[in-house]
Amino acid sequence: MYIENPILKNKVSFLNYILIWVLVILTHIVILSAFYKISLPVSITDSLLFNIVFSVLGIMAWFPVKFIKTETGKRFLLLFNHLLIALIISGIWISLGYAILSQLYQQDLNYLEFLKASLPWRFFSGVLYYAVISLFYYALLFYDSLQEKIRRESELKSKVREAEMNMLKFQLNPHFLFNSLNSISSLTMGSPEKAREMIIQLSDFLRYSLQQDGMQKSSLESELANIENYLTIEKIRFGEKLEFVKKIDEACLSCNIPSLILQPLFENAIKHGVYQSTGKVKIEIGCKQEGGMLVIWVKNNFDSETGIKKGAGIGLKNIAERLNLIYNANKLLEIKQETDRFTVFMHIPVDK
Amino acid sequence: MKKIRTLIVDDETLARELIRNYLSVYPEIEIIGECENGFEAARDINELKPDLVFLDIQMPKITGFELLEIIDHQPLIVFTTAYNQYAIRAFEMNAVDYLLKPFSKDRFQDALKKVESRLNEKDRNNKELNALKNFHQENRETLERIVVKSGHKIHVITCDKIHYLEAQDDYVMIYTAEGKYLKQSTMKYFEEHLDGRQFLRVHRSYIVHMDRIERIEPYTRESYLLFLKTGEKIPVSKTGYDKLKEVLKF
Repeated sequence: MYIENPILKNKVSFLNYILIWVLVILTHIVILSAFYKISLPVSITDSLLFNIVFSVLGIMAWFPVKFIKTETGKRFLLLFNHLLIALIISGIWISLGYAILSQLYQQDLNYLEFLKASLPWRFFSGVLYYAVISLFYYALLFYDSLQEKIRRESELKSKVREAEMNMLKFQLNPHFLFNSLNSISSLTMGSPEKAREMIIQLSDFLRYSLQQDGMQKSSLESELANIENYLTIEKIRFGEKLEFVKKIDEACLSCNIPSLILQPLFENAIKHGVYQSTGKVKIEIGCKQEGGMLVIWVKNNFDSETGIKKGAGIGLKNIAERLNLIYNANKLLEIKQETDRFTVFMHIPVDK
Repeated sequence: MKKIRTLIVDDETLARELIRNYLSVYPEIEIIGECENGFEAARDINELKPDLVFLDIQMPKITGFELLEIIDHQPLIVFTTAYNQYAIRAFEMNAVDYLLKPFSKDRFQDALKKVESRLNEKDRNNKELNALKNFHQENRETLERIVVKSGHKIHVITCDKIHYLEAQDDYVMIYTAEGKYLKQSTMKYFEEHLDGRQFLRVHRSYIVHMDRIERIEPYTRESYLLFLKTGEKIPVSKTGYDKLKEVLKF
């Protein structure tokens, strides 16, 4: 906890902090001895006592900054909290200083007079010190979160680029693209009508994928339309072997999800389900809202006899990272593997 | 003239139809069947003994390459696939041709010319089959699964399920929880191709899956005995023991 304090975190900032207080102490001494004609030893004691005590209190002022929540819309409450703490700290500060100094200089009536008279402005300066220090902490926190934001954004950009690259590779995936073209080639012989339809579906699918820049979000509805396009093409290739089921709550359709985030899930389901199996493969997509979250699942059965395939995890890991970067939260992707069934759950904050 | 008995193997109906259509102009070709996965193909190749097979590589159950390991009859092979990265491997396996999907009629005609000239070559006998088998064994990929044929059954064994392997003359016996399977291969081959992080050759005649080991006990002065979690015992040579020591860090 102490380590987290930005002043104590590294030597340089700690030395700077001390340096500032040394300057304050010196100024304090000069003011007392020059303007209020207080003897030098007394001025020094006064200055050291008050300022060293506050320098320690100043370090402790990190805790209210750290633990009072800065929710927007509750600015007044925040201000009130800090004012209260400032008054308490300042109160403790001057009472402590006064108690000690008045004991030390019982005989020096002149000084005691001055000390009493100075209490109100000392109290006020205590509040001011607190304000300066806590503002400094807030500035640091803001700076840190800004840096963090910049870092996240650049990371997101690189992830998105990666996703785009993968997308591009996917479009050029020989197993999908060339096999589809081969199917079209075959269809031209017996059923040119169907061949033309398939060309149009393939074009629509490629166009949609190319349009999305990866940063943007699209409605679940348009993402689903793209998926259906893709599955129609695969259905032409695999016929009855592929079955697609939708269990979508109407209310979810207008919600936004990251573009093309579903695509790799279906790609996986097809690759490990349909490509590897001789029997029927059912791919199900479902979506419902649960406490402010959109829960989307993609489920497929697979042939458990064909052995595990390595490399299935990379696509899913990319999705998890992308969700993490976009929504700034962990565990938005959940995987459930049963003996012959594979389900991926995605949790996405509702965004209309 | 004797007809060329041909089998078409592809998991996609349209792809098979295309080949069938392309073949229809060649009177010397007789299509004797179509298969949509590796298991069916293995059965049909062994039973129908075709002269020529059009073979897809990526298929359900087992791949085209794995299929070639378990067939007893050797037809001429023309690979048809959307992947270009297997071409070198296919030619090194002595395939007649390698057609990249989608392919034109002209390109298909070239392939058939190659088939005919290959058929005219004498004494090809089992040369190809051996070349195919040997090549597959020489290629250095780490095995994920092993395909074994016993009688009419084809078993796909995931390497994770193997307990240990035992040398038996020209064969290797593969022991798993489901049973044991005999495969025509060598210990050297498995030692080189199984994942070294999982498997270790502990004896001239034994390779063991390290997750199956329960304990090791001295046996004679120069050898040890490995107890598996399944209760089986495996002899360990001096060098095997040293390797175990190094890998398991005891």
